[in-house]
Amino acid sequence: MSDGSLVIAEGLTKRFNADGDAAIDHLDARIEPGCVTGLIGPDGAGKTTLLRIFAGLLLPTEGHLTVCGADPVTELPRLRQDVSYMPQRFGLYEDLSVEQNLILYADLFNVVGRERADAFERLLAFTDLKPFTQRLAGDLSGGMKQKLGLACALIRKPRLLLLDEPSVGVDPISRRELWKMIYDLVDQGIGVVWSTSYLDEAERCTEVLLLSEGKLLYSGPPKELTNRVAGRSYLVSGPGQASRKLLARAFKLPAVLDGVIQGRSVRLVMKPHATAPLASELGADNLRIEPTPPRFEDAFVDLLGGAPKDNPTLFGAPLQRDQSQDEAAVKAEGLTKKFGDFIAANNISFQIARGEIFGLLGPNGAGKSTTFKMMCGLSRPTSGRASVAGLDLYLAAGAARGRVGYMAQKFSLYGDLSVRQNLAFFAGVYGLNGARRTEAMDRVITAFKLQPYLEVNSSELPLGFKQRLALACAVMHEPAVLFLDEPTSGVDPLTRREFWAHINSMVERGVTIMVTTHFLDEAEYCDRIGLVYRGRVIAEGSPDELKDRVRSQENGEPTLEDAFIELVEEFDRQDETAPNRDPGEKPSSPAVSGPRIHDRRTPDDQSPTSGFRRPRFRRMVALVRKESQQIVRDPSAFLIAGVLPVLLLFVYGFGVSLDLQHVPIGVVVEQPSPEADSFVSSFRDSHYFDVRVVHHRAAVEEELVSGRVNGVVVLAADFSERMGRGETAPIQVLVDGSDPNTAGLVAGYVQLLWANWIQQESVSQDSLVNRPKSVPLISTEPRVWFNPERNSYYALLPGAVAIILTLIGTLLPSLVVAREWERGTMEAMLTTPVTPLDLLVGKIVPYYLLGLMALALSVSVTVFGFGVPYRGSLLALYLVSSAYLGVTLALGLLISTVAKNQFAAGQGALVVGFLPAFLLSGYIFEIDSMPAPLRLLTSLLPPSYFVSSLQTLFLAGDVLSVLVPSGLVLCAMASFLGVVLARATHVRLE
Amino acid sequence: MWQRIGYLIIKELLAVWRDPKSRFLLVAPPIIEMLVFANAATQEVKNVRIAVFNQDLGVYARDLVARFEGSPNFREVRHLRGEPEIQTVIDSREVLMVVRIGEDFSRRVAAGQPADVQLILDGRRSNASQILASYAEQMINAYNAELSQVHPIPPPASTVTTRIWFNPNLDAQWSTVPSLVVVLTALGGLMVTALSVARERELGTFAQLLVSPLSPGEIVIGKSVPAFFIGMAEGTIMVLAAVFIFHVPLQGSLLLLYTGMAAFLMAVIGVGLFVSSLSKTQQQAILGAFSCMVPMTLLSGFASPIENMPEWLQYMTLANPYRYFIVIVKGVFLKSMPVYDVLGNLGPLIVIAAVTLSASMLLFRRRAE
Repeated sequence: MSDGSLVIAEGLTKRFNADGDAAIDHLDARIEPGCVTGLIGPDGAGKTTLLRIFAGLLLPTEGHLTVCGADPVTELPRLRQDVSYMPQRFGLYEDLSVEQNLILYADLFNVVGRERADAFERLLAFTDLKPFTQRLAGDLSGGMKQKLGLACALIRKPRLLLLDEPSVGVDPISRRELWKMIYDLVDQGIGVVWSTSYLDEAERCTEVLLLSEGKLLYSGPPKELTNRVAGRSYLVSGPGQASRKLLARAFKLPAVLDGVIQGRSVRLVMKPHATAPLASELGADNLRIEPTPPRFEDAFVDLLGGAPKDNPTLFGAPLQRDQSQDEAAVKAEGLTKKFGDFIAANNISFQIARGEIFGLLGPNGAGKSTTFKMMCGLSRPTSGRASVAGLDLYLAAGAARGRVGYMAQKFSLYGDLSVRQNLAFFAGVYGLNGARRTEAMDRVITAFKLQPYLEVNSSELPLGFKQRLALACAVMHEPAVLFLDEPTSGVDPLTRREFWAHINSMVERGVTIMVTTHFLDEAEYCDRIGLVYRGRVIAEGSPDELKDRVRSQENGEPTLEDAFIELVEEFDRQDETAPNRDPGEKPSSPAVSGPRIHDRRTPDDQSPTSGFRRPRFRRMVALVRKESQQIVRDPSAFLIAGVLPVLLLFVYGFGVSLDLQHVPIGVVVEQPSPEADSFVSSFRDSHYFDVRVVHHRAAVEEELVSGRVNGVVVLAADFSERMGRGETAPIQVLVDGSDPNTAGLVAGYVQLLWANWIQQESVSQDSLVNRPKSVPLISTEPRVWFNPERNSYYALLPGAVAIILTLIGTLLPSLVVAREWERGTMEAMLTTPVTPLDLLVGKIVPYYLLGLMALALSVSVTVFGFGVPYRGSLLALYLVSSAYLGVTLALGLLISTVAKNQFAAGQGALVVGFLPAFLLSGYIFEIDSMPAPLRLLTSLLPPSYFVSSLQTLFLAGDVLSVLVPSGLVLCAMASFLGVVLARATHVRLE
Repeated sequence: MWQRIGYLIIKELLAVWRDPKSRFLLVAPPIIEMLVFANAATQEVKNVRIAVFNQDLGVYARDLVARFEGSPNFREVRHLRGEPEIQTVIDSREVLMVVRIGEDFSRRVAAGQPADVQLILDGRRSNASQILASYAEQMINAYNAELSQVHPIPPPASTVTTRIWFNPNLDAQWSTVPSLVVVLTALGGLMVTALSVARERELGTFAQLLVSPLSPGEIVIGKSVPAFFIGMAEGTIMVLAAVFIFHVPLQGSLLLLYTGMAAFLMAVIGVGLFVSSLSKTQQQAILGAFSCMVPMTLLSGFASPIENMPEWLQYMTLANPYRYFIVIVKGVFLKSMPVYDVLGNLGPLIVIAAVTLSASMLLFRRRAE
């Protein structure tokens, strides 16, 4: 450890399953300070796993590891102070501004006061982000996002900086700037590990570690490896020789190890001890074959056993020529797209000939993607026309799309469908049926060698096969034109070669290709390139033409990257009105300047004596603040905490009423008489019923079936006659039993009205009905305590308040945390010095406060809006609600640590949170009436305790015999779940 | 065109069925919910605790108390010793009702004078207490009837005979279970469609569909039909459960039931697709579907009769597909509802389906940007 190496790994091994293959296999490596160590390897080699082990996010299975002098297993906090890690996905909060992200990380690393102001000043200048401090991180371009990520990782000077594929999706200009920044850091003595699958970057590293299948194949300076293939690289070109044909022929030679297209030339690497290729072997005599200096990529491919040389046989016969043969295959005429005032694409025109590869290049945010989308028909231009194979993309959209194949940036296939099902689906969608479909599927299965994987789910395929499948799906219908959107972004050189071999063979058959890419070695495959910048095509031509345009005294052999950067800068110089590269930003944005950051100190900076100076409190405060800022920005939080409570109270207050009134009933009066009239009018006067009088029962019985009346009262023809005679006159009542509750109440109210009527009748018309009073001997005298008016919403609304708090406590946090896992922000957070307690406090406090706010809102609406009395004390309400929020928050966070994806978290929260609160809490369905197993369940679930407390507080007051036991049970549940939660929360990924 | 849609439909069905998680989520929760709901969502009151404060030592009071003790509706009947205890047992929610019998109760009954029994109810459980009060009244009325034979009083001027149609024993499950058929059938259809487009958007496969020759209309059809089949399958499981597990009589025509189910599913799928076309992420889709589902369920006549709502709210429920299908399901199950009554409820469902489906088609077209 005395030799100053930052990382010392000996025999490091990582297995994810005890008996599975090792993801990292007995690796010995050292990482030195003050240099860039490149971590290179094909996809699935274990690069990310290794970086995560170095960052202390994963634990090694075997072997010895020291990072910055600390043992990652036992001395995690020390390691966190010295190591910064930038995950592969953008790990910062997209809904926070640049400045808010920086402040959060400054707090987490305890960088305060003067030191913080200096760090911000330095980092904002360093990253050129100063004009954008108020912008949301999600609105930054890909390059700026990576710079912000870097700035957050550098908020305090680390000794070791781990970067996982920082240049994926970043344009060449930003990539070059990123490297400049890294060299600055290295000069200050920081050790940097840069993982990448772009091999031109490997040459910029001081040292490289080359991984394959978890094993270290090479470690040392890149030059040394490159020198192993010295003298084996040749550049072949010849006038009138199509480079693609040349490459295809070269691959047939056994001595050729690797070959790529470089504009007009083909670059070949020969096998060891092989001689230079002969022109005759390549099937032409006028070839120029000259040695060329080796590249790291040559050595890489050599080490991995050479390029895949299978000759793709995609189409058995050349495509039949279509009627549009003389026209350009793809045409764009004056395409313009405006978003409000902003012109994303400005009068873009180009043509692509049949069988041509056209590359659409440009910096992030230059209008390249907008143009590409318009060409695919995904976006409609504000003005201009585009056509594919002679068909207008917007007028004959369906027909034109039938001629187009499209391969999206991510492998956009259906992961749950097998390879065969994916193929069958895309064949069908593009109108292939019966024999043609079988034939097309067989052809691509053979061409892409998919046979062994036919029944495998496409999400489980190795990366190379995913890529093949995506291409296979896009070409099955033999499109005239193929659109590829960054097809090999983040893909290793071997897979990339295989991919382009297929593309080249298709182009040979007359297919037209349009491709976007940030990877300029890939752009060399294009016949022509259109460089898009600031919404316009600023340069167009073959790769060699573009290079020629920037050839100068200083740079005699410019690369395509040089050309790209020079052309963009030249355009900026000519158009000096806006020096800013970002088109969305106004040039002189005065948003924030340096000094303002000084003002933005947290209040505790000014009170150095307070306990908040301690790092732990600072971290907690920072996390709480971050979460609150996100809540304020997120419309769905507002929906749950602001809109849903009011909606629910509204529905319960007005909609769910068990108080019977205006029930439609029919009264059948078969023979009108004064008695019958008097009886009917006593029904009419009652607010319980809406009465319809008819004279024949048949009509009204039908209405009972259709549900238009809920009950029928029949006064038979002899009703008055029998009453007059002093006999018992029967009244028949029919009620609709399909709603038993209403049925019971209707029957009861009819009885009640009848009893009243009889009593009145005998009093007022004593003369008519000459008989003594007949009153029941025993009468009941019901008194409803707490709710004498018997308003059922008095009991329902407190129950609704419980449901609202359940949703806020369970559903919202579980979705939010699951989203953090999905977006990778959690991974970035874990590499800072946070502890599990910090993370929990950071989540619980904001949602607890949000819950209290929703509580205040819903109690206010209940009391002032609906007039429900509140008889308890606010203190008791606060205490019981806090205990309940504690339970639900712990439950919600527990769900999200288990689920880790939003769909499952949402379902989980509904099942264990919402449904029990809705069904098993006793506010609407009486718990005592449920079968014993369900009663037991309700006593194990928190909502029933909270609902009974709330109902008591609202209607009865502070009844301690209810509140204390319930409160204690809730506290016990909260503590139990809290312990489980604390045990389930880790600052590692496993 | 039809073949393209056919392939889209097959793909959707496979995508749902091949993912073990979504397969589980489609099958298990509705069945569990059916079992829990059917037993929990009851408006009956049984098994409750009550108390009796009997200040009378006479025979009639003892007789009456014995009747309360013998009733199957009460799990426990407590005897209170003094006035203050009433407040304690009610406040602490130990009992739902206290029956208070005064000192001179037996004496008055014996003398043929009117006598009072006081019922003190816990208004916090307002629904249960009201139902309980009516039970108590029924018991006391029955006792009255018996007493009237002992103390002959003149025959009443008239009597009321109540007959309950469709559900003579007022079995709560006969009403809850058909309503659950509606709620749970909708759940599947709504969730499948609401999430389908949002998920494809997040995965990036939606762009892949949009660049294919499928038109927005074809995508809407391709997304609806699988959800329709899934909903019909879930509906069938629910109907089978209703008939064979809960023994709800199925009186009417199955054809009518399925016609109603088809129209209802189209309306619900329209709502789901509409939510889906509005939301950008799965989270928004989940919350959106939830925000539609809860009010639609509560304002459907399932939780409480629509007639009890204020008039303006009753008009709003006219746009709620649930309310029509609940009438159809209960009607076909219990009332053997005739064709024209079913058709009357079918019309609004078809209108809702037409409106929501065409709205989501328009939104797809616009959202393709």
